[in-house]
Amino acid sequence: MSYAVAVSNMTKDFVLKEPAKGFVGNLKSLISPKFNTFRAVDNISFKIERGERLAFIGPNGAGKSTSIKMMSGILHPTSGDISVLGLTPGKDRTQLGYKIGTVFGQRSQLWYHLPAGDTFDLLARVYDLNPKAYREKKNELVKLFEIKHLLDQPVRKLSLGQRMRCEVVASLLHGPEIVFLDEPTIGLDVTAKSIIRDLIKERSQRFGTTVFLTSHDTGDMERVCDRVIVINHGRVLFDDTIEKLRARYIKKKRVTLMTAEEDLHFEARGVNWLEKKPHKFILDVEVDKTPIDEVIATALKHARIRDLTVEDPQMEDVIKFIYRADKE
Amino acid sequence: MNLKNNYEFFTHLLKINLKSLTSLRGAFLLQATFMIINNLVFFTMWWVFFKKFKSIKGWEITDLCALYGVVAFVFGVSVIFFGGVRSLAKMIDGGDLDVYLTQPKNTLFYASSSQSHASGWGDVVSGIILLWFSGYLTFGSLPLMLTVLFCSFVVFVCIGILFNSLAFWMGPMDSLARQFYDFVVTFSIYPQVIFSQFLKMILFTVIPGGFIGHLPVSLLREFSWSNLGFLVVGSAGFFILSVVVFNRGLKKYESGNRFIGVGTN
Repeated sequence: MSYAVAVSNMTKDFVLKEPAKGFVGNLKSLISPKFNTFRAVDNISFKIERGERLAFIGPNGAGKSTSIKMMSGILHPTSGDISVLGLTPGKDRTQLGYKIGTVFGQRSQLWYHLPAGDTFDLLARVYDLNPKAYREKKNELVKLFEIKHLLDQPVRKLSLGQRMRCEVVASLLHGPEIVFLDEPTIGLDVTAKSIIRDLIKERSQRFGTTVFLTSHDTGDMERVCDRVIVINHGRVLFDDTIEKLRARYIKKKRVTLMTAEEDLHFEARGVNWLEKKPHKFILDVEVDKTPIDEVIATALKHARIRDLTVEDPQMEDVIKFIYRADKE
Repeated sequence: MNLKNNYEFFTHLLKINLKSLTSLRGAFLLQATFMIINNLVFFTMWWVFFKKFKSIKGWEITDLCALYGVVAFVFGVSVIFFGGVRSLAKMIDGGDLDVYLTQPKNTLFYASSSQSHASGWGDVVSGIILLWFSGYLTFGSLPLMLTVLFCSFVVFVCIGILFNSLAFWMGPMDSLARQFYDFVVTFSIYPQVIFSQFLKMILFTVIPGGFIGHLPVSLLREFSWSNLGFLVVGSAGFFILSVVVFNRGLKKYESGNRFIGVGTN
């Protein structure tokens, strides 16, 4: 079976200059600088099937972006083999360019002073698209992502969420077989995140596009992907389905309740009260012991709820759970 | 098909660059106008000089006028078509080549032509004015003029690529690359007859200002096949060297996470 991505013992080292201390140290470093090798990605191996949606998650500095950059041909690995759609990214970059789409949350491919529509027209030439096919594809994506009203506005005047929708459209215009998304929801509000996640998933399900998504937000992985690889310090900690990750490690949700009543208290298995202020209560819920809906139903029996938020655990907490479980 | 597609891509890129420049209409007109004034005022220094002295080792005011014209025109054309060259070091150090590397077009060509500078239009206009006044711009000399201008343009763009590509090995050297670049421009606008043999050698190798200004104008003054061959071979050499160095450097590219969009300077 041919895989969309096959990575074997992928390693990336960066050589960094050792920072000098003090004036004399800086002068010395100017003449004979000292260098250290930093291993950003450490011997990672995995395979992704065509049409699969994989989340590559980990805390900041885990090696996610470095990995995605090696797979998309931006960086050359120090050692190891990478095959994307049967091509070697560093070597066959031009050929690969026609087949992949990329979205970097921290970098834009849109022309800053011009409307996004102008960048789309340029990309049609970059990918040598047939004018008629390009128009049809653009119209379809513009309608789906609801960006028609944004097409004539300079990119510099768009909000982050609006810009990100345009970025995703730009990456899909040429109908890529695989889309690499590096932190596509970074800095977005809840609504914008939700729109982006749903649209990416819809495209993938409809056209069988392989999705490789990096994020430090567990929400991205849960709403878009079927499989997850968790990395930290450049190493794979977990590689399995989202359900298994959830069952094993994401056992907690954080619930914030705003109530009409000043005070609220109830006892339930796996519920840990973190903060109690007048009208505002924060609690950690172990969902395998008491489901969220039961917690809310119990809270409603004791008070009138004015507002409610349910949050996933932070990526750092998930990593801690995985480390702890490994030790146990 | 490939050539046609690349041609369409390049012309569209030019169109989009011009649109991006003129989207800030006031700034565009001001920069272009001030560059014309700047170049012409700068040249008046030589005009004053030649009022007192007839020539410098055979070079008269018309020759200096042609020298300034060639350099201004070539500088203008290069920053209009390949304005990104001046920012390559910054792009390399800031990780801004990522976007170009993931798209199926030549990275060096795409990154170099993805920026255009408004001041270049002022340089082109003042270059044409100066070439016109030099008397060398005639219908008969047009093929030779275009040939020397093209070679000079190639050398100019390529040394920009070479200097800026050093950022692959040396890290942040954006301002140093710019200084090198300006250094070359400075040495291009002097007739090389005033320099010693050693300095002349430097000006055709390390700081190849001789290929940009002196040699093209020498050919306009007095045509010789050997000088034309030297110019063509020199420009081809710089072209090959710059492409090889850039592609070697690309293997050392380390990317980065600076937040910036395409088309910003």
